[in-house]
Amino acid sequence: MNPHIIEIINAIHGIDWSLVIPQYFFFTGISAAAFLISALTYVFGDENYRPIAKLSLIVAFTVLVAAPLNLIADLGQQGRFYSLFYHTHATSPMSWGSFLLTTYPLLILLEGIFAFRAGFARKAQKASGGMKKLYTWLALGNDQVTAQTEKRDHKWSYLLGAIGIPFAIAVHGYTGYILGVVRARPLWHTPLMPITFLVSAMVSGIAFMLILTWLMVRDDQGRIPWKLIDRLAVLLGWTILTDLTIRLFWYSIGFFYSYGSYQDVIQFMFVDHFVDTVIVEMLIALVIPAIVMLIPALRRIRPLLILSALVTVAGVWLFRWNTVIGGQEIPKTGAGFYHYSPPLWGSKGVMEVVANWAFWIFLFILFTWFLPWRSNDEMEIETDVTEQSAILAEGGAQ
Amino acid sequence: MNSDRREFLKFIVGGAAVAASAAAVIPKQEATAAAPNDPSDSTHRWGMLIDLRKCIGCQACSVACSMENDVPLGYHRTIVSTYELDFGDTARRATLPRLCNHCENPPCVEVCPTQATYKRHDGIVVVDNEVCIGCGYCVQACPYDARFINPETHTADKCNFCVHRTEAGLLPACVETCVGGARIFGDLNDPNSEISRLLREHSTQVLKPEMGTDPRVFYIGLSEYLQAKVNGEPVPWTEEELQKELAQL
Repeated sequence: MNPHIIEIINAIHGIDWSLVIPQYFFFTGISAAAFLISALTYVFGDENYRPIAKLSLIVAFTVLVAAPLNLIADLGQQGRFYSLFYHTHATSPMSWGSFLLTTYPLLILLEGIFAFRAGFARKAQKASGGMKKLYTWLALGNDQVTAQTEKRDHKWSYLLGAIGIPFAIAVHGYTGYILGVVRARPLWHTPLMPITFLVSAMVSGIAFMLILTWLMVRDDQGRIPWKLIDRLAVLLGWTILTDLTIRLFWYSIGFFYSYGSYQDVIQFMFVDHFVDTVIVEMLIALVIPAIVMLIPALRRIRPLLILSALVTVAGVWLFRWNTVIGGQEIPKTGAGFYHYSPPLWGSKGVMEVVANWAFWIFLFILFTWFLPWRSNDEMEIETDVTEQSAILAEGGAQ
Repeated sequence: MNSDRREFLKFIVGGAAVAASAAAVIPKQEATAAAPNDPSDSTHRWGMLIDLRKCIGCQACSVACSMENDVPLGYHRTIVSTYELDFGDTARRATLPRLCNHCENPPCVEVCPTQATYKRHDGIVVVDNEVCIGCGYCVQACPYDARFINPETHTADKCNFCVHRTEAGLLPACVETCVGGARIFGDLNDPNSEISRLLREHSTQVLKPEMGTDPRVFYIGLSEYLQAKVNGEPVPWTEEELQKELAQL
């Protein structure tokens, strides 16, 4: 007979990977998804997504600039982060990550040069002085947009986009790998981890782009492009169903057919944390949004559509939290479970994540302000008008 | 380290740049990186046997270890986990000294991104805290809760069988101090060592054998319900409370 065991003395091993790690996983996921959305246009030639193709590239790049800062913040010896490039280890997914996290943004940058070239050339035509020089330089020294340059730009953005696809998948897939290889943690140790991370990344990224489209993209008449948003919503709905299917496989095999240590996971997730995981993360943030996205009558209630997309994004963040922090709340040797609530300020505090978001928002504003990302020329027409009226005003003053 | 750094700079300056994918770099490093500072050879294979029948749970080993290795307050390289086992009509106390298992297949080593932690030829798993970046991956990967991030060095820390003592022919501090003689340290390669003899003569257990780590810390008299994550009531304090208490000291 198994005795009733009371732990009297044991060391407590708290949370070593703090909440910047879920934030990092979340951001790389957004980047991968945004890149794949841009590839729909640049690689697969789907014109429906062209209005957000450049915006997606900007999102993919900027979140990937902000994301690795989380990793550095979580190191014990932050000043040594660069040694990851010369102290390498083939069996450590974290070592692969250092190279993925540098190669992939460079690829986006290269693709961006060709994707934005025509826009810069048009800007160069209208600008003067130093700005003209800058725009011409950014347009690769040529301020003309001809059929020939368009063909070349398309060819290169196609090629770099195609090379970028496996990198985008790898840069997020490897984060799932990081957790999946840890056999000491039963919640993490599943071959499904990279897959479930990738699919939930697509969920968060599509929802994120849907919200940004609603906020920032306007058609020629200055209206919200609901047709495109509906298209994203349907894509989101099906991606959520894929996500839920993978979860079903993962949890059902874990629940009914797993070895002993997985039973702790079941107790932790489905009993102690039933509200966080089942009610909020799965029901409110996945099942209900999927219903809203896939039923046209519900989708047309526009506030409901946008709210559902927001909830989905938050839900994926919660999934990252529940996985990274939850996995560590199940002790490896100790009895029971740990409870973790992060401090607000200081190292490993909530404000680190807030600061990371703030930094991304800053980058995003900077990039969308400077780069000609709108597919229609509306913005340029607007500036033309203001420039003309400024000239007229000057003329009038004289 | 310097030669590594020079190589790194050459690599960057040489224009190969990061685009010359990870695959090209990793095997080259692999060849040179196997334990550069390892003075040991494989004639010895150090291991420990803990005879739980002799352990009285006095924590003298925990204290000796912390003093010998200057382990910060609130952290442990070894600790004697203590349990009350209630069988209904009877109850008894169980003790379980925990430390790094110096596994034959250490999962901490394979995940370390910088190879700061490695297994020496004599089997002792060590951390080079001048290379360690404190990412905590090894802490996650260890199935035995043997590792922690040292708040003073900000790098991974753990039992190293008191390598500075064993290299000088001394016993690890915990073994030296053990009141009941429950901890036996020795050379597993030497068939005449006390540990080899006891391993031959007794049935022994290891922690979490299903992890496939092949530990080199063995136990005599380890109950199966203490072998993996203990299924019972947790210690009546939390990490937060512990940190508060420590802050007051």
